[in-house]
Amino acid sequence: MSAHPTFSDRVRENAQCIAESGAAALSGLYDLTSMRLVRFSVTITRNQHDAEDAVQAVLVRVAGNPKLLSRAASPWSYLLQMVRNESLVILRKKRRGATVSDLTDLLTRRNVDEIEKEEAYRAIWLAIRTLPVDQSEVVVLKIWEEMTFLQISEVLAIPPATAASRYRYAMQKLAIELRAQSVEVTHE
Amino acid sequence: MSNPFTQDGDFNEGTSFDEAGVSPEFLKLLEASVLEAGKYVVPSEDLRPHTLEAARDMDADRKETYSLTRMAVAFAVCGFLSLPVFSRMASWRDRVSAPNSLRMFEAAQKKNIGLDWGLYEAFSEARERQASQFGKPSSKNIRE
Repeated sequence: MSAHPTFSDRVRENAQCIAESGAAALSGLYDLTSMRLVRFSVTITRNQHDAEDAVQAVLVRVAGNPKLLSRAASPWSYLLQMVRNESLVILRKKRRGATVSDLTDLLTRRNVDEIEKEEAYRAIWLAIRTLPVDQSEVVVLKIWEEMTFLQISEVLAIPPATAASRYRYAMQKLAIELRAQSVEVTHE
Repeated sequence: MSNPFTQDGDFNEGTSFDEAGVSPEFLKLLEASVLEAGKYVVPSEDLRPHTLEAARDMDADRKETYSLTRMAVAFAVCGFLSLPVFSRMASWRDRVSAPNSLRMFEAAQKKNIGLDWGLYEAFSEARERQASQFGKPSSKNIRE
C-alpha cells in the first residue's frame, strides 16, 4: 500500500475493523463516509430524510457483512453503488416526482464566514435538483467525488462515453440555469 | 474535433461546451462553485446515533440467532449420539422390570395346576429369575 492511502483504501481499512471488532466499529466508517453518501443520495431521492434512510440501511448492512466492502476491488465505488441502489428503491417506493422546487428538506451547514455564499450554494443545489437524476448523479460523482468517467461508469454501470455526455449536458443545463438565476459563479 | 476522451476515460473538458455558449473558463468556475457547494448539505445529528444503534441491534439479533442455532445443533447431535444408548437400555428393560400381570396370568395357566398354585409357581420363578439377574448378595452384605 502506498504512503498516502486513497479514500477507497481508508474505506477498506474501516470495513476490516468492522470485520474484526463487530458493529461497534461502524462509527469509523460512518464518520468517514456519511456526509458524502448523504449528499450523493440526496441527488437521487431529492429528499434528505429519504437519503439518510438509504445511507443508514446501507451502513447497517455493511456492519452485518463487512466483507462486502473489504473484498471489493474498489470499496468506495461499491459503497456508492449500494447507496445508489438503496436510494433508487426508496425513490420507487415513494413514487415522488423528480422535480422539487425548494430545498426545505435539506439540513445545511452555516458557517459565519460563508453567510454571503449561502445564496449561491442554495442556487447551485436548486439547479442540481432541476437536472434529471441520471445527470445529477454524474455531476456529484465527477465534482464532489472527483472520479474519472471510467470510475463513474463502474459505479453507474454505464459506458464511460455515456457518463461523459451526461456530464456535458448536465453542466450545460447548470450553466443556463445559474445564469438565469443570475448567480455569481466565483471561486476563491 | 479531437477525441473528447483521454486514455483513462476522462473527459477533455472544454471541447463540446461552445455550442451552448459555455466557455472553458466559465466551466471551470462553475465546477469550482459546485465543488464548494458540496459542503453545504450535512447529515442530521440524529443519523449517527440511529445508524450505530440499528447496527448494534442487528448485531445482537444475529448473535442471538447464532447461539440458538448452535444450541439446536448441539441438542440434535446429543440426541443422535444417545440413540444407541437408548436401544441398549430397551434390551435391559425386560430384565429389570417388574413382572407383567398378564404374563403372570398366562404363565399360571400354562402350569395346569389350578390358578392359585399356578400363580404361586409363576411368581416364584419370576423372583428366582430376577434374583439371578441382579446377582447374589455378597457374604459381607449378608453379615451386615
